[in-house]
Amino acid sequence: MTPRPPLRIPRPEDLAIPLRDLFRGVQQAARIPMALAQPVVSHLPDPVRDTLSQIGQRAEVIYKDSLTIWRPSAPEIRRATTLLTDANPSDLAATGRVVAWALEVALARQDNTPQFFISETVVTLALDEALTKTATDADPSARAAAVLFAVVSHGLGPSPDTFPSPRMTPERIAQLRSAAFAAALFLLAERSVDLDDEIRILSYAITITDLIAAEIHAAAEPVDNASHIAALLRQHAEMI
Amino acid sequence: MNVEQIFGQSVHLPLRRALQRFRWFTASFTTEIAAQSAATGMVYETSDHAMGRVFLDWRKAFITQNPQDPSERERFIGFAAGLMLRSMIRHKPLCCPQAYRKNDLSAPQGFWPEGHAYVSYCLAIRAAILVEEFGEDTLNSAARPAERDDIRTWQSFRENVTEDPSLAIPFLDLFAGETPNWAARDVFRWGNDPTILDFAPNRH
Repeated sequence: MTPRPPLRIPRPEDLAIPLRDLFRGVQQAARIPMALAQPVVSHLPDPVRDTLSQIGQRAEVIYKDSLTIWRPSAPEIRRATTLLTDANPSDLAATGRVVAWALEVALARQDNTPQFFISETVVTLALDEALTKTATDADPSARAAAVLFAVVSHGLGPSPDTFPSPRMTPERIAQLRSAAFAAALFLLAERSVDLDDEIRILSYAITITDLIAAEIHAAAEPVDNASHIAALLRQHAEMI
Repeated sequence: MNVEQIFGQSVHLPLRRALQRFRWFTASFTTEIAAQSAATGMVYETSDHAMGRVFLDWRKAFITQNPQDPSERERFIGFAAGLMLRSMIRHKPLCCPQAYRKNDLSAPQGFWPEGHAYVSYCLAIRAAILVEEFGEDTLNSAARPAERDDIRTWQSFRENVTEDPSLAIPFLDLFAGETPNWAARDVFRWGNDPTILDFAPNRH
């Protein structure tokens, strides 16, 4: 009988998906705040109860920190935009993190948006697909349009409301398309060296996307019109 | 007024080009409104969504009517500022809450705080571009038009633009000390003859 390898705790770099994705997934698939778990926990012996409470509170803090504190630096944003000009960007995962952040901000600004599980890993896979499809296309707005379509087609993961079914409703597709357009517009816009300015630029991209939403959806339904979306992106990126 | 006073920071573009970018349009408007608040004590709330509408509406009209003839550029600067005022009247990006309003209804800023702020902004950018492009300081010239402080003109302005926002264009000319074109008010190419005055708004 072959001896089993010793158990070991994996290092973060060994994990297939980033820890932030794990926290997001756990939190969004099983939303059990500690307040709700309290009646059950209260029946446990004191030492176990205290330990569980501490773990739960710590997990909530880590999760919230992972979502609310992280934001890219201005140089990280600038590096991410090489996606639109370079067929082989050096660090696609870092670019995926920036795009996921932009999507998260854009979705949070929408009214009545159901929760999306925004996975950096899935976003990075979508970016990889977009790069493959536009390998011979040097037009940044065409690449940005490809990013938009790839993000929408991947769907970013299931909603906690519909979990485990990843089916996307037309409403969710439209919301995701709007957020992906805003993120693509943000990537195309002229960069700033200042992070506050970059955050404002993302905000302007979201505002403009909201105002031209009807045009965006008309260009993507019933079938994606890549050249029209690219033209809309180019035209409005110049305005920001 | 120089470029840094307009935007609150240095800009690497000529003013006329910078204002066609949402980031610089917003920066210039925010800077001007902050300056007005400091001067008058009136505080304004700004709607980002309405600002977006103002910008897209104005830019579309600007591009449609921008003349190719360079000799028309100086006159078009005034017209484009009027288009901006029209968009602001239409989409109302500002709101001055009641608690911050002045009760002096005989002064333009007390009578219509938001309208006064829009006019001040449009006159400021109009003047700054004319200085940058042609060296003309129209805003600080000695001949300040009496209409700019005349409450009856402001009453007429408010009543008329509420019914027809396009009248904002000739009204801005009036506030700038230029001859308004009341007839072909929202079409630049028809404005070559400023003596067309066959329509005038209701005056109190």
